Amino acid sequence: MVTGQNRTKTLLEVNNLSVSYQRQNEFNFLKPRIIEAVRDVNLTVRKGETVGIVGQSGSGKTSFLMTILGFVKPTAGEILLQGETVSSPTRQALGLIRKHIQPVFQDPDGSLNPHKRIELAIADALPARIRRNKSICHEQVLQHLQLTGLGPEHLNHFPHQLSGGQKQRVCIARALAREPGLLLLDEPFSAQDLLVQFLLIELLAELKKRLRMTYLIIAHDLRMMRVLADRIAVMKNGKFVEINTVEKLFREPQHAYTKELLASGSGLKTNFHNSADEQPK
Amino acid sequence: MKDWYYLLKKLWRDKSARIGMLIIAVVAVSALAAPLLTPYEPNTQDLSIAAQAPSFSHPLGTDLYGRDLLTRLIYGARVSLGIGLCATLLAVLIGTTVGLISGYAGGWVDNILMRIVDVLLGFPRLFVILLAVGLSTPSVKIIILILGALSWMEIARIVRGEVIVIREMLYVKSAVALGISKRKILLEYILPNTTDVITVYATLLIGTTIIVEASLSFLGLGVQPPDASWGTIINQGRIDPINAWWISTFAGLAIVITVIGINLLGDSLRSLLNPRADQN
Repeated sequence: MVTGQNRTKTLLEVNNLSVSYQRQNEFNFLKPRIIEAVRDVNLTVRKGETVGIVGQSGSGKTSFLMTILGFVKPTAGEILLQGETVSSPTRQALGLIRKHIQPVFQDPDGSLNPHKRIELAIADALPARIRRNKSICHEQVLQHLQLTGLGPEHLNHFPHQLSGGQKQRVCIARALAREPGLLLLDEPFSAQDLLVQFLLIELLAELKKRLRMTYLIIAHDLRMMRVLADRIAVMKNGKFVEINTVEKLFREPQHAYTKELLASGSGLKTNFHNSADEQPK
Repeated sequence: MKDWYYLLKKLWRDKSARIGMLIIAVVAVSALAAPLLTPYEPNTQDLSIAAQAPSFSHPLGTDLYGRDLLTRLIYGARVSLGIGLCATLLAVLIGTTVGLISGYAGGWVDNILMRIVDVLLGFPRLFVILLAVGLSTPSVKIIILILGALSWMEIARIVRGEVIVIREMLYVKSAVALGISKRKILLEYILPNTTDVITVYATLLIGTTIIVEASLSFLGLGVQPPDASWGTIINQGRIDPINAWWISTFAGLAIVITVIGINLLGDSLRSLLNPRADQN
């Protein structure tokens, strides 16, 4: 929990958040299976900060992100955005989320409408009053596109005419065009090759400096986080097992699972069956 | 615009699509340019030349009232293609709207609309069409309305299925996260991505509609004499199928060849636009 002076600087506050899904039970259709994706999670993101969430696939990272975006209703707990509750999906809450939080998803191929040219795709993120004036709209679209290192020659392209890295840049430009306070990045690098990954990290680091962006980044690779994040939350089985600053986490990891992630170098290689960590209840 | 150009180019490279397009082009052009192609009037009777076999001056012969059969087939193409196209357009319009709303809204809206579709699909189609046509005064407009209003259900189902898939796509989720209005998401993010399946289904539906229209006209419930339609011409040939064999035969061939052309194009479109379909 954040109190007093800190609250003003807090952008996002997640208190005791739980998310579970109902799935059909193959053995007893009267009693659906409950899958607990996120369990009793607390997290604070301050303005200008970059928080990374690391964990293996299926640990609940994306469910956590989708809940913050208002796509999934939490089963318990609350989410505060700039001090206002946004965890119940009211029109007002969703409006606040859409205004302040923008996502960039893992798969840039799927994130862009294949029938929309890049210029229109980014223009859609701009407010209606800007879209009404064609020349201002064009200028603003170009500005945001150039922020991400692309140029006017890409404006008329369809998504399939761009490379994976370029598409991801368009997705970032589109998210930035909404001028959000918080950018949620769901494994933004994992669909890219190593060189593109580094270029994207450089871009995000530069945008952070220039626009004082706040990031909440999900990844399963700790090395990426080391460059970008100020703090890292390690997620396992829907829970944060450790939240610490990057230096501390890399220097003296507290939790066995974090040590294992660090030792493996990449979350992907983790042998979680042999983990010394507590098993889910 | 460029997309259409590429699609046409791809279609032209496909043999069956090329044949289909050529057949449709010949029928459509002759229907449009009917008065330029033939010196005869389609409805002017001349009993002195009634039921003449194919000859140089009447390549497909004349009918029982001495009208040039080729002329009547060409004018009949106007009616058959016109009804096929207009009724399909109406069906696509209704079906797409219902499918879009049903798939995107979900919940009780989806439930109600899909149950209506189920009920309508449960009716024997031909029986309902016959009943509806029988209860009204037959005219081209009425036939278009009835055929269109009774063929949209499959399109609605197909579009609904597509919308449910597309709704979960990341680009729609991104659009929702950007705060784009539902109307805009439906019209600019979802609808353009369903056009492929709609195009394929609509093409095939034109063929089916032409056959249904011909059946109705054959039964005397469709286009009324003296106006020419392929169905009415076949019906006329029924009176003396042995001695005046050319009447029903050529009208029947016109239907068969046109529908084959449309189906060839439809099947090629399906495999070109939908990579999941057969890749032969």
